[in-house]
Amino acid sequence: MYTSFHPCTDMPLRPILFLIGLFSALFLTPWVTLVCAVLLAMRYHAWEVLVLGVVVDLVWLPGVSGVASIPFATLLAAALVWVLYPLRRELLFSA
Amino acid sequence: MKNSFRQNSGRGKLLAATMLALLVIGGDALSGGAVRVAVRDLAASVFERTRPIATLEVGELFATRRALLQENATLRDTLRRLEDGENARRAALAENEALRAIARIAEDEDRHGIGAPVLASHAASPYGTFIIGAGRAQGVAVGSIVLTGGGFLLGAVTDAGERASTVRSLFAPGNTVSVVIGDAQILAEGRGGGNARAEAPRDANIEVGDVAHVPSFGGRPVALVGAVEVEPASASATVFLRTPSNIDTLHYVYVLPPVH
Repeated sequence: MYTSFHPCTDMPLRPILFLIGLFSALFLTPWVTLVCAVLLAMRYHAWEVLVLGVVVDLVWLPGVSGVASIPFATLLAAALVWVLYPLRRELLFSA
Repeated sequence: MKNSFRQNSGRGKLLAATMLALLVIGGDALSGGAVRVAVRDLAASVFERTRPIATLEVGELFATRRALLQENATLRDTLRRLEDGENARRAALAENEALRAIARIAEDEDRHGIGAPVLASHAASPYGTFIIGAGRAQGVAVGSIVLTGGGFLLGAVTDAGERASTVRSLFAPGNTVSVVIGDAQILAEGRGGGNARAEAPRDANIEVGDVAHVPSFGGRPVALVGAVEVEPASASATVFLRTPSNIDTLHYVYVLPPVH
């Protein structure tokens, strides 16, 4: 079975989503970042999702003790990437 | 026949990326925040450069509407500043009356603070933090308290870089702080955006517009009572607190050094 891959149509979306997510991580609401991360994680084996999570935590995470110091963004990014991994393999979305 | 399925082609990269991400975060935690301080100093330079872009006007087609919108925004900002000043005066009066009643001398403000620009609004932060353009070079340290121009407490510095610092809002989501309103001491739970909610005894005599003070920060005012909701069958009242300034549009804050 041959899976067609169209770099001309598939390639631009991934960096665009990543750049939008990165921009929103710095300047816009976290919800936009989350939407970009979810879309990336659903469509690609996107390591960019992890980058977004790390950037959010490195820029915004407060340096306090306790629950507030848990890097939720990175953990959520890792969860998104790996929880959706088997789903990507099965769904028609997978590349 | 060549198998073109790429089922596991991205798995190795993902695994490596995950390990690297956890390594970076772990390294930051072990180093006491050195990595994020460095990243924030870099981010601060980006924020400083992009601040003027927000005032640029693009396109002539919507000039008239844009001019009116801008004027509206300016007038709203002016109104908020005036309200902030009035609220600061009321807070000062309330504090004065409390001090007269218990015959204590308030701590005089002999610590000199600095004004600092807000580089990045907390609206972009999922943790209720924001970044100010002052750091260790300007005398800011972890624990420095941050006030609005009207003297209302916003939060405290949690990370101090060389020229930028991170401030965690007192009403960050999930953060709890004990506040005093009148003669009632209640626990406020932050909801983000300068808002908090608390449960108070039904007979606590709390009214809209009352000033909430934080005993752990020297009794400084932190918020106003925005609303009080009482259920008929409930023994408690829900008090909604809000900072008098719109912290999404704050441009400058006042930073006081920590008390040693």
